[in-house]
Amino acid sequence: MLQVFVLVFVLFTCYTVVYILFKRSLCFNYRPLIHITAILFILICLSFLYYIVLLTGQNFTRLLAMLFIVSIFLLCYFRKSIKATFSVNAGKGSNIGNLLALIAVLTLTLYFVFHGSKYGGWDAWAMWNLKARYLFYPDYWKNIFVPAMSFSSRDYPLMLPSIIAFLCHAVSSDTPLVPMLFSYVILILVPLLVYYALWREELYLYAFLALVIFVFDDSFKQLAMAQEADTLLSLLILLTFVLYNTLDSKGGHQVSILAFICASCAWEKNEGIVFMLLFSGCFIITNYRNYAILKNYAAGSIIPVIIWASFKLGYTPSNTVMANNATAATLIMHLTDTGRYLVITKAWVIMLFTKYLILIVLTLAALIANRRALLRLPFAVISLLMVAYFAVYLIAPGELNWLLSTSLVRLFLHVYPSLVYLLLALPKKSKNVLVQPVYSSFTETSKQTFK
Amino acid sequence: MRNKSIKYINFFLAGSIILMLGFKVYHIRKIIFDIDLLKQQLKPIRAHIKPGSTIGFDITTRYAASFMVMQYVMAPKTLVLNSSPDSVIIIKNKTDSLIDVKHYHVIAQSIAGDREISLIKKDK
Repeated sequence: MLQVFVLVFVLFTCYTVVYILFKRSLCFNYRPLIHITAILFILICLSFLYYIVLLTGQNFTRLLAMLFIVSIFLLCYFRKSIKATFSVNAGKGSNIGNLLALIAVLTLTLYFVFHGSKYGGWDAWAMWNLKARYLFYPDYWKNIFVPAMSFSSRDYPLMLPSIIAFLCHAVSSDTPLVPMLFSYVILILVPLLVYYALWREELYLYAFLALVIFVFDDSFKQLAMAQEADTLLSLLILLTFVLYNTLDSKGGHQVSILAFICASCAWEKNEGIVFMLLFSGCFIITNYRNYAILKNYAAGSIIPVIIWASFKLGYTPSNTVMANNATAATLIMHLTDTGRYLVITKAWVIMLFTKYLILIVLTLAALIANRRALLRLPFAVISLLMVAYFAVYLIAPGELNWLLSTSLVRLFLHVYPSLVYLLLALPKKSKNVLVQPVYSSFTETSKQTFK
Repeated sequence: MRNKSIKYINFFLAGSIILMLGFKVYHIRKIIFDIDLLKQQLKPIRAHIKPGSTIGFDITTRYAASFMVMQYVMAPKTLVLNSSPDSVIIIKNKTDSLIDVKHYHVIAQSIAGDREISLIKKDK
């Protein structure tokens, strides 16, 4: 019981301090968005800390003791700021805005009460929650890498399992209720983040529309409640784009937070690595002359990259796609097989029309209303990400139809909330100096070269 | 006044959400899934296995899909399919006879419904 009280104190203090720091650093002074960013930032940090505890052979009690001391220190240091920050009303969400959000959360909660599963989907208990159970026992966590566990994708990063293991320690039991409730939190955070990001831009009708889209999308709700890592990854990708879209010329610290969140995607799933590389690549290309921005970006991404690299280089076996396509002949055979292209394209079209029809409608509306806006960096990153996913299906080993039927809906989920947000946010007139169409950067570069 | 009313409605909604979650947790704890049954059934067998150790696993066709579930329930003990380490878990129908494994003897057995789970160990 004492452990629970200490943990609640630690989490509350860390959350308050992160909130204060984010309020000072982020370009937007809008409480709901800062709250969501702070929650995700803390979850990521807990995941890193727990992984470091496992690496160093420490136990949870020592970690908690250390966090407790740090919390006391932080509380003393920030005691004046805490009162000042929370006594100011500026940036508070409007009552009517919160009412709509709460109605949406209530509806999602009702759905969760009736349909929420105790053990989640196949991937949840055969992979993520299984790993969390191993991570719960610091002495045996390396058993997740033994060959007998090959069915559970041993090379997948550990953000979700480590968060669940940490929270399980809080209740001193590896109960399935922890991943179940965690999936609920992610289920409500996705629509809320889209909603508040649009509300902040004063796009009230679009914000309401976003809520309606998520609340009535059964496919999204079922995937989110399946306790798998895809929804958390989609939330991180979404937050990356929200932070990117809200940058302004004084957003040095926000660039670091953006880089931290973006790089943390690699710690969530292997698909997150592709996103991190593409987003970082595009960001660097569009800002390659702005040394200060790039320095902040590098500073923000360094911790997640070190954590991820230590895991990938130190522990994991090679990825199944890489391992089974070791020979160039196999790779060429897959790449030149036109049948595979047709099968994948057909599956993608069917998937879009059956599960993600709203994306087609929104994209068509965007094409009619503001075609040039689709050339901005976020859309370029998402397009490249989809090309990368297509390429992975092309070279993936195993039965292609089975692979598509089991994973495609989850891959689309990675970009679904981001696309809903980005497409609905298009009417906003961007004041962001960093949010430039990708092509303009290339044009400027080529002009410079020709001069 | 209108703002104040909305504020009260918001508090009411937030309270309802928390109550609903409480109900969900209470309700789902009552429901017994097959994994829960398996957990209960494996309790006496788990006591004979050291944490972190590797155990063999043998199944009859009816329980062919249960390897993953067993892996989940037994964690952090690791199961190995189709191998012959020191200890092997055998899961089968109660009415079927136990497979004949030479140089092994039964350490623990647990029967629930139709399912019989046995832990066999290599003779010394």
